[in-house]
Amino acid sequence: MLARLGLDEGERERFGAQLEAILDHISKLQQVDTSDVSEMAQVGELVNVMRDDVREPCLGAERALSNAPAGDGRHFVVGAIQENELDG
Amino acid sequence: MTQTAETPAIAALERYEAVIGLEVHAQLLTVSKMFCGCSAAYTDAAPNDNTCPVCLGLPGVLPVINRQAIEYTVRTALALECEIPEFTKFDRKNYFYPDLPKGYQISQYDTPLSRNGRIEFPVGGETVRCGITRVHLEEDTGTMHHAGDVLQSATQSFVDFNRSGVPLMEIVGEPDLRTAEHAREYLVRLRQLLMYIGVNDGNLEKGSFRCDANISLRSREAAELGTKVEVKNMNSFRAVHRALESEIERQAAVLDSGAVIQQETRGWVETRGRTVSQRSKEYAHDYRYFPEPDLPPLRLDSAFVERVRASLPELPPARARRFVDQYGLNAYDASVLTSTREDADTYEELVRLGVAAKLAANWLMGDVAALANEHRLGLRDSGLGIAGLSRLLGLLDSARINGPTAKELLTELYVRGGDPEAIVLERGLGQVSDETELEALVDAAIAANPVAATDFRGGKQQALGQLMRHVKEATGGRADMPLVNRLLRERLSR
Repeated sequence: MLARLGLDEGERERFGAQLEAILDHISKLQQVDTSDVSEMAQVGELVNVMRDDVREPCLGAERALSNAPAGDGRHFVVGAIQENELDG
Repeated sequence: MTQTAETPAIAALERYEAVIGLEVHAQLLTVSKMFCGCSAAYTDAAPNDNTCPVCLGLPGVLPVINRQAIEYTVRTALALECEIPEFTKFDRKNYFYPDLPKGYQISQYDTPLSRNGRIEFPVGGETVRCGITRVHLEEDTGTMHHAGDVLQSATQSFVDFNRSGVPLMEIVGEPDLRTAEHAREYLVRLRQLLMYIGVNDGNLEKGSFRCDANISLRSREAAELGTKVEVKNMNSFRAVHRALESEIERQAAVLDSGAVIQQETRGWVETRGRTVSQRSKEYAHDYRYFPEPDLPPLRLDSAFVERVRASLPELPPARARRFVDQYGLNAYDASVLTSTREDADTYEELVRLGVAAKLAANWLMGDVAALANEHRLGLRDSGLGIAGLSRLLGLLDSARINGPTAKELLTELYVRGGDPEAIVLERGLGQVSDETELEALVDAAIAANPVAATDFRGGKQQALGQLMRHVKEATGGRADMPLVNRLLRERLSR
């Protein structure tokens, strides 16, 4: 998405300098010795949060489709997908 | 298995070695979905009825891990002799397709639930051993169909999210398989195992058990690995076998012509009997995996793992070995009788009810299997039931009825049920095994067939058949035929 922002020449220079400063600031982190710190996937301390295998009420098609841009009352409808264009 | 004429694929395997690895996706038999409480029975509902904000990928929702899905995956991993690391987490696999509403699939990347397993199975006379790289857990996608059902001409696609979020276990096999036959047997055994431990229903047609294959050929002379092709869209064991044979043949022809194999994905087209290119894999997919921030990681301690291990049933290979040791069956019978958990349980129940081990095996694998197939009704649920069959075989074993009578009664009572003993008494079906009575019939048979008697005395063994038939008919088919045989031989040797 970022790549789609239209910037004029002046903006490009101004934001370029700002981005540079941000990256410089963050690169200070590289000075920290992390050799004893294991990688983390999350900042929270939670583990093993699970639910029991119990069925709960669903929305049903009508409500599920109520905000869909396009539908036929039963399905979400999208433009045709050419199988060879995209990954499945 | 099938010893047919040499196929082109088998001929190609004299020049090239095929290297095959399989990936299986198996839906878990949970009641609810992987990360929400929607029903996982996606085929039972009208399109999009089994959906909620979580499995529709609406903003601001929080997935929560289904504990049963974790347990089923660990159960599978243990049955495949995998290691279960203490730490595991989920990751986001990002790609864009209309059946994936979040724009990413919750899967596992670098810390799968399990690794380094193996499965062994017989093919022909040899034991094939295939490593299991990993077993991990992810979520299934929605399903799509296309207007007009012809993809190229469709202008719209219709999406149903009932399947979105159904727990999907991925079992990645090592490239240890060398023939299409290996691949098929691997899948047969793996499916049997998953059904045995109650985690998957094994339905290839409906897609609850799906398979993709990676296959390359390498020259028997050179050691370097060939370029790998991924084959998809095989939804039967037969399709897997045919697709891989066809792919071996195709790749061998390409290599023979001096050309190179393109790395690509090919789909099996049943009607054309060959694979066709689906899309080029020149651009390696960048799925931008990163840890799923909405799901805290899991720490599976050894107490949990051991509890799951203890819940595993005796697995088919071990059970077959025990059947050989405990019941004196041969390896083939033991393997047939343990092919499903229900069959093996039925056999053991029958033996517990007092039926001789070999007798029970013969009847279950023969007449009972035929009737079960004919009526689409297992013995357990039939009118006769396991107890009824044990009484019927008891009458046979104690020589109160003979084999043909037992077969007739089995056929008659299989669906409608009834007490075999009462029917034997009521209709006078009891076997005639009184020696005095049979001796009189034997004498009458000899008197009525003097030529046959003379022939037999002259050394013509087949002549005995005519005399046996005479006695059999005289008793309405109820004679104890082994006894008749002995009495006839005694009489004629005097």
